Amino acid sequence: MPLHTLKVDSVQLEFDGRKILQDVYISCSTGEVVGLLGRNGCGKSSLLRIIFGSLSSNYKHVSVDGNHLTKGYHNNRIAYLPQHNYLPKGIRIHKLAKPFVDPSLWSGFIEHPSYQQHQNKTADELSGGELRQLETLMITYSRADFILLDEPFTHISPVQANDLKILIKQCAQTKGVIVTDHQYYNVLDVSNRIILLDKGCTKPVNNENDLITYGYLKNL
Amino acid sequence: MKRLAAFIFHFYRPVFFVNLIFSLCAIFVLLKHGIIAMPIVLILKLFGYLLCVSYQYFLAAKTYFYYRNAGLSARQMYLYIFTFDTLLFIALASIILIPYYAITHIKG
Repeated sequence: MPLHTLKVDSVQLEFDGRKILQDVYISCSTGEVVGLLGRNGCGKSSLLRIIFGSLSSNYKHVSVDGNHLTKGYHNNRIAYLPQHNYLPKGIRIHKLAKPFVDPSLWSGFIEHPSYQQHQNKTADELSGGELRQLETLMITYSRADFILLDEPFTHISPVQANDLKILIKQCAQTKGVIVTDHQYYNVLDVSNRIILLDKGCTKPVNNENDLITYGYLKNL
Repeated sequence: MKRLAAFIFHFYRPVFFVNLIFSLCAIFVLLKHGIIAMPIVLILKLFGYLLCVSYQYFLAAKTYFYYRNAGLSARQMYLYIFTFDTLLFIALASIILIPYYAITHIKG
């Protein structure tokens, strides 16, 4: 398994003169799940979109194995699960999945119950939770070396959340994963390392008490 | 190549009929007025592409993430479908116009 390292540094983002991100450093290696926590509006999604390459920033330095990336998604280096649904409507799931999923992982992908159950349906025929689960599944089985998951635990049931945690851990055996969600207990469960985004800066979290110290949680 | 063709087909699918209608209108203009009407044909085709971009931008922009996650930018996708549509238009125009002009020529 080739080992890769994603490094994100010096990200600066401003909206209407207000600094959203200013002192950011994140690294993630193959085999690692990095949890990104932060309050509403602190810039978590913006940061993931900047890394992915779909949002422009004032300045950023994103690299994989030391090679600078202008757009993270070029050459399938990084995949991103946005908060909204992204699958085109009116096309059967198996037709969307076939060119999208990594061919070397295809046999594992088609064994998943959610794919088997919905492969002949279109995205508009699925419920919000079913679609979310399937979209997350497709992202984790994509060709990318790094996976960015933006609120993957939202809109899914507790049973689906448990399945998702297993899926993320499986995915991290061959890829690097950065996950963010307001359901912090799920993020803590699944992550090897936690980073807190506060006032535009990233802070490493060494233990759960740090989350109280930094004002993210009132108590555990 | 097969993979790229699948993505182009998915991206082109919702705007295929709009572009086909504009192509047929453009061919009709060529039939009626001949090659002299080429500027009108170009304007018609450009207007079709503008409509197509507007549709994707306002109604289907969230699906850009599907293509980006496959390693393809939205700009690349537009470039591919417009190139494909132009080739399709040329093929369609040739199939209709060449026999039409040939028959007209034979009839004198």
